[in-house]
Amino acid sequence: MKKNKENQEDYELGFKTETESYSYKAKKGLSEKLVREISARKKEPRWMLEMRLKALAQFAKMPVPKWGANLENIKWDEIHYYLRTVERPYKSWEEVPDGVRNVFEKIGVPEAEKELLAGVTGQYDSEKIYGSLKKSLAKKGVVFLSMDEGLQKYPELVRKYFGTIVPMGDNKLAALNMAVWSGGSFVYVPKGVEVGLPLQAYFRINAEKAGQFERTLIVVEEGAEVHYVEGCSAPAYSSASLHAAVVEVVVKPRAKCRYTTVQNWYKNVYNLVTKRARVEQQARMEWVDCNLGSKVTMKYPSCLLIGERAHGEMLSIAVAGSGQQIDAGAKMMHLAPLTTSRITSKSISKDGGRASYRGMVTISPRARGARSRVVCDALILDAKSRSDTYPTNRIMNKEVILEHEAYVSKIGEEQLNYLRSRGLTQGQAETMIVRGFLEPVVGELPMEYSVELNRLVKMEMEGSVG
Amino acid sequence: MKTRRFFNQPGEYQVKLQYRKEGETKDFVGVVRAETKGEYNIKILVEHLVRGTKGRVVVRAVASGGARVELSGMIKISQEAQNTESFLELRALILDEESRASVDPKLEIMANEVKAGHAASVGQMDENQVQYLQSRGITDAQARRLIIEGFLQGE
Repeated sequence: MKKNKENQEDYELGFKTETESYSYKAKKGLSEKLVREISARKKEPRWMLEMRLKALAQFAKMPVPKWGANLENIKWDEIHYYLRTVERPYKSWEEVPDGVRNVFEKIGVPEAEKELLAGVTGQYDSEKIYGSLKKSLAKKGVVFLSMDEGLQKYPELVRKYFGTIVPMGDNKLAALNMAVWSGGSFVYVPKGVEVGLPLQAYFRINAEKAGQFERTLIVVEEGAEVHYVEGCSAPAYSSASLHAAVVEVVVKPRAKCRYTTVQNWYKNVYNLVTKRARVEQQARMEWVDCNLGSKVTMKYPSCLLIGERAHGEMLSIAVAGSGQQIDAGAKMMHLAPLTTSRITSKSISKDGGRASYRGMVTISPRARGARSRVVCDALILDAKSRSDTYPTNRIMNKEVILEHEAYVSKIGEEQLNYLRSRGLTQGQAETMIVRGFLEPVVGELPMEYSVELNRLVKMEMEGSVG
Repeated sequence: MKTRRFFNQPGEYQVKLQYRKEGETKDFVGVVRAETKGEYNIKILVEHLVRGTKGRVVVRAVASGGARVELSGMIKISQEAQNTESFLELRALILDEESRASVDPKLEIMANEVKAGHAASVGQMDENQVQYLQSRGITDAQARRLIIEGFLQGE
């Protein structure tokens, strides 16, 4: 236990930097006036303001979801719904103020950029302050902007898709996001273009009780391909923050999109995210979702498989430690013939944490010849922790193959004994087994993220075992 | 100890298996023949309350004639129930267009010295098996009957 505490203290990302120099910080709480103010400051088109106001009314009407994690402790009136660090994004690294730059340096953005990255958009609180996109991509017509800039520069494109995949009435948090959204990414990949390198965005929450309501829209045109990566870290604060993002993805016929998340919010953040993709004919959508941080996570990335032979894939990792509840999973809606989906979920519960898989596979009467496979594996590392599996599988036609499997256990004694007989300590052996357990998902991450994830897992593990 | 139970009529059924004696082993087999219109709702709760118990629950269902089959199962392992082994299997075959099935196996596990798992599947008649049997001189209808019986009795 003592060791665990030390670990928390030298926890690399758990620093707090001085950034009270927000150029604009909205008052706590939510009101129509605030929504109008946000929209006016961003100089948004009229339709966006109307959408925000409608969503605000919707938010007030909808109940707090009760079917998953406990959300009763969220103090909705105590949250800052809008923050803005700078008036306009900086063009070069030198222009960025020192306080802001320090945070980025600690999470390694400039280094990451030097590497083989296609572009970096750092979200420092609610706005993009620093972004770049390699020239070759821009030439091909690939758009990679913050959502605010996207709306300014491509209003018609945004209007066509915004809120069509996750409508405002979808759930309370989606309504909230639509009312006060700020930041996030807008990605557009034109027909036939393959973006070879992953597009990356770093997200950070850096003001106490700041709400992060980023909104991301990704449109991948026919035959195009893109991989979008987000990593999230938040510094240490005493009171709980709320992160309620919405991600919408449109994958046109024969296109391919992968969306990778490494979530390591600090352990007082409520992470309530709605992510959904519309997958058209012969297209392929892959969610890779790793949840290590946050106090409470509720996240179920979904695929609406609306075109023939569309494929949806979900690879996820959840690590729930002391005081954490990770309630995550996936939804696959088979709405067209010959659609296929696969869900692979790996979870670890330790030090009194609770990891739950909650998922849904629906195969509609139209989806003849659909196939779906769901595999959930869980490890429980000690007697205080808890692991749950809550799948729902609805099959509405007869030409279907659906398979679901789940397995929960502790680390196998035989495996441990074998490794120890080879000279490994108990701790080393456990870490090795856990890493092997997670490997099928970690192996799919871009290199620097798999390194980071392995490091995080090692850090988490050595706090609890060995 | 193994219990076998048949479900041939539409309705709501609840099955509860509790493990209260240390070292106890109990198995359950459910056979659901849903061949007429209606809802066949089978809910199974498996509760391990003490150390060292073992359980295996298997439910197999065929749905035809407009039947709606819902199989849901929950394994709960309480904090005291270390050294538990528990497995739940829910399988359904849908035989015609009018019929539906859902399989929801759930787990809530509060102990760590456990082996617990579940498997669920929904599928259809394997036409290769039907053809194979026909090639051995069995009529189409007989072949289908045999495959269904084999499926329901396999465990």
